[in-house]
Amino acid sequence: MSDQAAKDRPGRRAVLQGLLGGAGAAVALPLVADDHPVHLHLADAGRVEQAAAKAKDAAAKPEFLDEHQLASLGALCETIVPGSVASASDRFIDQLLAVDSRENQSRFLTALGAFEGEARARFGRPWKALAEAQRVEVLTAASTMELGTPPRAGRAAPPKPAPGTVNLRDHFEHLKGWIVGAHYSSEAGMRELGWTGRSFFTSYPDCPHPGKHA
Amino acid sequence: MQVREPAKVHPVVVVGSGASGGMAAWNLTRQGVDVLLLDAGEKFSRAGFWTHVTPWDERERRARGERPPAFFLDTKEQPYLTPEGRPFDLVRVWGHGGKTNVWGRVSLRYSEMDLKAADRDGWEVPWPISYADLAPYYDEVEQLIGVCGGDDDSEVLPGSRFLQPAPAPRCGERLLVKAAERIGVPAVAGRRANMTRPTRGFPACHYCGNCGAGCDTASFFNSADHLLPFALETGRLEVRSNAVAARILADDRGLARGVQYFDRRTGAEREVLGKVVVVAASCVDSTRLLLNSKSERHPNGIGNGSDVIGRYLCEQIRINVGGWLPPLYGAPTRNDRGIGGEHIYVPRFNHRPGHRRDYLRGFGVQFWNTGCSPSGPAPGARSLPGFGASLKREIKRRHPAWVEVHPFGEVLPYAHNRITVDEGRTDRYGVPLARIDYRTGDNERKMAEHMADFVEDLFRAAGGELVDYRRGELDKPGSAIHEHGTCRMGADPKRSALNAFNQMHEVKNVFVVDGSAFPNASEKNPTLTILALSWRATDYLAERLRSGDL
Repeated sequence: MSDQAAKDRPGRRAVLQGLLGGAGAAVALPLVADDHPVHLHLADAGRVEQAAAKAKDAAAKPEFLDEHQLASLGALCETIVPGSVASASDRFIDQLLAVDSRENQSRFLTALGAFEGEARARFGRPWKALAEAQRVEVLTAASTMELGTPPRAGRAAPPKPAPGTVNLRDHFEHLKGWIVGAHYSSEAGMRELGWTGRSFFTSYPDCPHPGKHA
Repeated sequence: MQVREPAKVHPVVVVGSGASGGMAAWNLTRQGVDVLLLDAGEKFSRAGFWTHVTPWDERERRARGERPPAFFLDTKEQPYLTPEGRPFDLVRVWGHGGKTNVWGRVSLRYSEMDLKAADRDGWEVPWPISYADLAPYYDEVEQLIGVCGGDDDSEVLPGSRFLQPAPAPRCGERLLVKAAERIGVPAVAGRRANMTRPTRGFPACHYCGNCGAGCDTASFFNSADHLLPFALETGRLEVRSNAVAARILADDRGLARGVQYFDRRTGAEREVLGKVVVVAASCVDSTRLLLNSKSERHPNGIGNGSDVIGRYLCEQIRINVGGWLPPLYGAPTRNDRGIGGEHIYVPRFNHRPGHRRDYLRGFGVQFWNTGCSPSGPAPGARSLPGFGASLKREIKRRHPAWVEVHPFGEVLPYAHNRITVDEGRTDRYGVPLARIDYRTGDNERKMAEHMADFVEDLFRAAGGELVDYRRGELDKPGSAIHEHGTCRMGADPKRSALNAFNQMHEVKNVFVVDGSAFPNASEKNPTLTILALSWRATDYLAERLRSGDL
């Protein structure tokens, strides 16, 4: 017999609040992509609050990454999602990682290290020192090769990949998940999507398209 | 320390103030019956709701140490037990209004199909009432709480007479309605308890879409604002907050004589006496209360000589699917918040010719989270290919094109799906904890296959692209937050705990009026029916009190 209280994460209530707030329905739930660590973080309002507050201070030292790793992440962020350093996504990710599990921390560092290694192998320089064209070259290769590990099947966590099967594409997708999640949860990211903040109507506006999709 | 009060005997003690308890208190007091209402929490102040706080403002507020109302009961305070490897999500709101503070507002009448399902297929007990018994109460409830919807009645979804105007569908919803028509499945306007007209002094919905944070203008029904204040105005309602009901006390004849509760702030044990006890604490907590109410006359829990209380727990199964609708790629971002959740609904259709039916009962389909999300890009954005400016363009281009499809299916009542109490594991007051043992059956797995067929056909007809789709993957048990069936009504006292008026067969001065009274769950959200049943049961109770039968 298990005790539900002992199993619940500390932020369970905040997770629910975040979900309900976002979807506006007591039946709302995470739908897809909930296997990526960033989505669990983003659903925990308390964790997001702390991370965002600390990430604002551009002069502050990173908490999980070292300065070199943070600079590498920043360079990756800006190439994968332009504007994401301005939205402090690199520092936000560092803050989230600081409170993440050892397994997720390790997964992230492995991915970051893979790009660092690729930069040194191809160009003899660290990732942060690459020219933009060199970064694009590596990311193009990484994003177009076949995945080394199969995607998750079913609700259960995916099995641990066999040694040697995780490739640069897997690392790319993992880091992209972090960066996309971090950037588009910021005000800058949401405004880029056209979000204008909450507003009110006396009646709900109908579809503006000609023919209304008939 | 136990504090014994002077032996005032309240005419009625109601336990719980959500949809069922709030309705009971409101309906009894307006008929001249004095009510003591016990609630395990306090009133959530609407002034403190974060209804209109943007996601980024929320971060700032939290950084300043501010917090939104803590609606959800922390399991650290009140744990519950599940078997190893069989989790069950239990969401509880202890506070005035209960879950109606944040409910999904889907308001679908049960039809004769739902109420007579067991008569047709022989699975477990039928309802002891028909649609004709409930229809007048549905009429009253819909006018009282304000439900919007269309006039598209059917044998599945009757009774649109008193509905307020429905909001227009979102663009994605319009495309899904067309696609559903193409595969021979009619979609209708959603029926939701969002007031699209001012109602009983409450302003109409302002379409901010953030209903899940609680409505600061009470423009959707919640018991704390729409029922309790009116009951208090009669001068016949006393509300006792932070009163965590533990046991119903029985006298030597086996009748209820009151309620034992604990003060949530001090832990002090207290007792109140009542001529009648109305149990309305939501399915799981009500069942726990009944099972913990053991006495010489009721060794198996009060009113449980039949051993049905705790059994036949029904929730609903769901699959949750999302994807893109290419016709909306590149459309301008628009305000898709609406009434929070879907504006359309697909009623059950599997009983009609031409549809698969290798299982019992059926499912309906809901569509929340469709359209431009106010919370960032759709979950599928992460898996879009590439990087850089092209990735950003693609994320924005697809932003208006996200749709979600959520079939809800009935789970048959099974005796082994049950709530028990564990004498060896107690809460902070020494009260045995509830243990929930729930598993999904073969009938439901077959139904889930049909749900998946429907979703795939719908996306195909809409020209949509499924994202991260895993056929057959069911949502976690409990996630519909619709527990029913553990203290069911029925004509046969050997197979049910309550009669047709929610009165215990074995203990005539105990009524159970929440979702636990349902003999089966249907595929529909239960709150509207809970309100109608509670109104009907308390009409009967008031009449019995007037006639001196109780």
